[in-house]
Amino acid sequence: MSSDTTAGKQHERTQSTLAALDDLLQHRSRLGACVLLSTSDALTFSRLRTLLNETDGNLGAQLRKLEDAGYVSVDKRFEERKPQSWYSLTAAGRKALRSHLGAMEALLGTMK
Amino acid sequence: MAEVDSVAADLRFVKDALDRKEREARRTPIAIPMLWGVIALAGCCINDFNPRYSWMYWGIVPAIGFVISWLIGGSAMFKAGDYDRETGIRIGLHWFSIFLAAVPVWLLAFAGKINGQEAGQLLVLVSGIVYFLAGVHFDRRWLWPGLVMIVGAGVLTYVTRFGWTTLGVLLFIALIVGFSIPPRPRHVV
Repeated sequence: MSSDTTAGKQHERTQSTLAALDDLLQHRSRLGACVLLSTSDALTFSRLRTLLNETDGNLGAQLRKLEDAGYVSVDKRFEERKPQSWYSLTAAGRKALRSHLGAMEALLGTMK
Repeated sequence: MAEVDSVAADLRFVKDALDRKEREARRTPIAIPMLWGVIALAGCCINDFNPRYSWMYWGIVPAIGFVISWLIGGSAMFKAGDYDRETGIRIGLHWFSIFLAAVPVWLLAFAGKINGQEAGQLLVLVSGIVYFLAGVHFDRRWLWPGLVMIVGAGVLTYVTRFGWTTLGVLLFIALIVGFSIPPRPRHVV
């Protein structure tokens, strides 16, 4: 009986932690992009693509979702006549990332 | 349970990407060691063949070299698509510590407490330690030039003829050869 109660409580805790995860950041490329951007002032699209081992199309789609949510901002400019998109994490993105990572940590903690 | 496994896999993926970024941000562009190889070689030759100009050379050229190196490093980072002020400042401060250490050495020399040769040896020792620590913290390829300088600072006490020139040549070789070899990739478990 008591082990059932403990298991039930743990299941509840896990469920509430899962609910705290940010849906948008549950995709690994989007999460990776936000974490990388949190360690720099700005990164170019091609740099993010190399670091995340992603294709142009997929990364572009994921970054657009983050941009639409206001998590990242983009600055498009020309460098040596080539177009370059510089991405930065916004304050809202930083806040969302912090709480998502906290929830991930808590989730892993519940399994210890 | 499947959710937790997926979270753990995502974290591993993110950690690998971060490791790659960190490693590449710390890598020194080859132009910087080449520049310092030339500065050191020319300066060491002046110490042996025309020591009258040593103070002037070592008082001006390294400061210019520092500014040029910072510009090269910043431009390389920017070209790689990474604008990271914090890392730039951290690396810049690391190298600037040589100039901070040079101030009391110069003061001691101007006060006549140590002679030019001793001041030079002290500065080589300090620079060697800073090079070596750059190898520990940023890019492994600074280790050998650092070691050459640390050992050289001591050996100079016993070498009376062309000691500086020999040190300059060895340092030049350590910098150019060391940085011509691409850094070994770190194995991520």
